[in-house]
Amino acid sequence: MIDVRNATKRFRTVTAVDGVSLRVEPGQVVALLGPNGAGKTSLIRMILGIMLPDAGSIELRVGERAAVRADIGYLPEERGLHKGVPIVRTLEFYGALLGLPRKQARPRIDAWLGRLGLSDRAGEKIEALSKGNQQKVQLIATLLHEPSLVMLDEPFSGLDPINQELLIAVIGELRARRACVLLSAHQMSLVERVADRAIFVREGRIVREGSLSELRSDGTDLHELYVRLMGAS
Amino acid sequence: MTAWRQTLEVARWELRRFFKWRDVVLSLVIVAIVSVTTWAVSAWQSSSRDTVRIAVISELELGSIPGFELESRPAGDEAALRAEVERGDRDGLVIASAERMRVIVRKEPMWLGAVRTAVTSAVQVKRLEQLGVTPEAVAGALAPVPTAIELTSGTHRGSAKFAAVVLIVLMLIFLFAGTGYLFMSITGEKQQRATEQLFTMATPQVLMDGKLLGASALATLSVIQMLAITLVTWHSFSSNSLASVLGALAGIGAIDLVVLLGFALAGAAFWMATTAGLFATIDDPNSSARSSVMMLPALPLSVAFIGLGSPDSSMMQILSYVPITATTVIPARLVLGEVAPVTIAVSFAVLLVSTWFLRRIAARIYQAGMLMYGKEPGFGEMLRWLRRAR
Repeated sequence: MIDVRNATKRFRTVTAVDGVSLRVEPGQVVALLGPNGAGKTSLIRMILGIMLPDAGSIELRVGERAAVRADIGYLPEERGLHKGVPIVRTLEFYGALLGLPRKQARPRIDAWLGRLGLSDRAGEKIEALSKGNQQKVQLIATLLHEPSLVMLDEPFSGLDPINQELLIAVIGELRARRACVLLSAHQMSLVERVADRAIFVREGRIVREGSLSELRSDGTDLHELYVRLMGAS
Repeated sequence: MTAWRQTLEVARWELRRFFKWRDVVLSLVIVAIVSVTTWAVSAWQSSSRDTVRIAVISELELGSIPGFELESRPAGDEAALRAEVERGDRDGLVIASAERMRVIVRKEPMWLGAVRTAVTSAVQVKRLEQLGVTPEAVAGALAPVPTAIELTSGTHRGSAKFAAVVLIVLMLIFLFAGTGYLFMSITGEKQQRATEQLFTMATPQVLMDGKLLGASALATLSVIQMLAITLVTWHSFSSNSLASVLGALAGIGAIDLVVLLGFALAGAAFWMATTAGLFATIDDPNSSARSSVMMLPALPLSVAFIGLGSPDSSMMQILSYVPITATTVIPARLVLGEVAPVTIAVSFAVLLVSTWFLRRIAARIYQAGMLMYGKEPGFGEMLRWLRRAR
């Protein structure tokens, strides 16, 4: 479970996140929606402990216990891997950091590479891959250790429609195994297909939230709602 | 997974990222090619050096000069000999007396010094003969008093100084290789945006410690590689050199060696921790003025070299307690001078404590600096990071 209460983050004179509260239950996919600079990435970084909130509290739990690093999977918006290192060695290292022994990691890596169409490139260096394929490797690094709390910052950007479909299926599987998924995205049509709830963030504050059925109750789709909420001055 | 095991994983990762056998073999091949080429050119030059043909008009006895063909001629031949020099048939004409020497050549020659020495010696011999003194009597009068040094402990200063220089040079290679690897690792990772995901897998402190450990391992391999290459290359030119280096190093006692290694490793950790945090604030390593931070480790080495002449001076005694310089000053004093065990212990403790705090500071700056793109933080901002970090 991800439980954020009144989280606030300021950078000098700018308040990036202003008293945000949200909760993601196991088996739930929650989408953070908002324009660039709305505070989504800052909020995710606070949840992950990469930066500390100036006020408020953040609690991550798996069942009855507090979450540890191995429970968390994170795909950052700023994609990046060590370019001069082969794919498999990169993934083995990421797995090892989270306590996944290499012998145990290798079959999982092979399975993921096969699923994402990268089996024949396993020995190649990251820099030999296209941007989209590098993103797929980073997605594997995010999910290899089967985390219970998954945060995906703009996971659909940079992927072609076929791989977007693949990612939708992967998120569905995460929901099925009762992981908490918090994602940010700009593709409203895709969000409508994967998310259970959506939270609209603007200038660091939540301006609207609810289940997709609640948000679309008046017949508007997420895209229209987004434009209405974010376009208004 | 424990933090220590994660640290080792990161160190292993860093080692495997940068250490490549292919590069080692390549550098060995390049050094071998350079060495063989240098040796061959040198041998070729020695064998192909032409004899310098000089005509001498003088009543002095010049004797023989290696590599020279001296032909004594009467003064009446001067015009003809000048013409030979002009035509290039002869390298030079020397007209010498006890009062002056004239050298007739087409261009100022490289061999002038050898001829001047020979003529000066001949003039000196002639003048001594005129005074009724034999050259042997003069040599005997000016000879230094034979001196034998019997040491009650330690090694002779000459070999000790040589050992100190060897150790400082090894330290230099270690420090520059280590900070170089750190620079590549941290700035490269920042440019590739590869750190944010890692921050969710391990703490910045673990990542920083792993990098410091990995860079130290890489630097050790660089030192071994450089030492092997240098000694083998050197040995191929002078068979005594390898023995003299090993002999000088063997002259250092076992306990001293442990102390030296301790200071070398702690000093390397100190300097790498000092530079690592600053590397994380570099936005573009190609244009940032902060890239010159890599030169900082030159400071303790230059201090040590300056202090070699007077290892136990008051300046060196004070610098023994300053972590910035202790890493090289203590080893230099240990080999060349006298250092009290308590000085070594206090100096080492100060160095370790400083290093411990510096690696924590480095991790905090690393945590904030690696996620700041497009600008470089000022020192005020870095101080704020240090205060706000948990």
